[in-house]
Amino acid sequence: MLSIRQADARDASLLLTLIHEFAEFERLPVKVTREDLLRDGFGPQPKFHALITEWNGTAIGYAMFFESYSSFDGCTAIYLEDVYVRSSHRGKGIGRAVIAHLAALAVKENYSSVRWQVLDWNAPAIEFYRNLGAELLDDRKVFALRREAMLRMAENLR
Amino acid sequence: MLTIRAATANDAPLLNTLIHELAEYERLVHETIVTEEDILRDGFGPSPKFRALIAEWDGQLAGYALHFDFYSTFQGRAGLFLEDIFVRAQFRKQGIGKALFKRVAAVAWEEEYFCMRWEVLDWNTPAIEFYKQWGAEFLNEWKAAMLLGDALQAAAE
Repeated sequence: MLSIRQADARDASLLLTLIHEFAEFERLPVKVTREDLLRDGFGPQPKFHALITEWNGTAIGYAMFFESYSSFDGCTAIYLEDVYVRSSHRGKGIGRAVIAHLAALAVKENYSSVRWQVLDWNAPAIEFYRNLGAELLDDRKVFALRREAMLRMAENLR
Repeated sequence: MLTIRAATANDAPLLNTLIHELAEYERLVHETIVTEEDILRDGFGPSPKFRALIAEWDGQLAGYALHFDFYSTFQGRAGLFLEDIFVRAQFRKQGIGKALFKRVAAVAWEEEYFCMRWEVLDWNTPAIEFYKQWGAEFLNEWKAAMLLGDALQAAAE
């Protein structure tokens, strides 16, 4: 049976393991340490919140979210950054349950919405989200400026 | 002459005006419900949800930028999300947008954010060109999704 609970400082090592598994699955580099998670997730002013998903008491995944802000709404939203389910437990509706959990939290605590991103070639995921009633914001492009480019811009200021 | 400064609680009415002007430019004014009270509560209370910069040209209100933190579990670090950057029509073409953008990049650099991220509407070609010119990476494969209103309520049940 599935349960979803909020992670606390005692979960830092478990969370680190799950994050590494997720990064391996996505073939992305990972730098995070246990200290980073303790400092940023479980200090006086947390920068993120994490959920641990368990199946019959065994950890099988995690989700990480933070608060984003919409200036047009004048309201915070829940931004779901990571959802990971171990391969042994996929196809059991755990992703759906995590989104339902966050949707309930959003309704209860007056967040305007739950938001996330999806890769545009991931047709099954897109189909799944559409079935949930999610809106896909097709007219938005995402940009990123990494540290080197940030410095180039910032230096140009002087 | 251009000055850029951090917004304070006194700027809530100005920010409200500018946010509504941006919404008009983005053709989203029908969805814009923010009030001055929202801005005061969320930007200038005990734990602010966003920070803002105000640009002035010879003491006149010319534009603003608004940002908040996001987080990467892979990096173990916060990033800076630039939600809004806007220059009023009569003040465009004077480098004010660029100066605002640079100031936000300087904040991100100095405060050791691992990355700065933002979104642009796909019909806004001048903005897209402007960002590419500055070495911004275009995350073309990602689409934003959201649940709100009735769908949010339904998903919660």
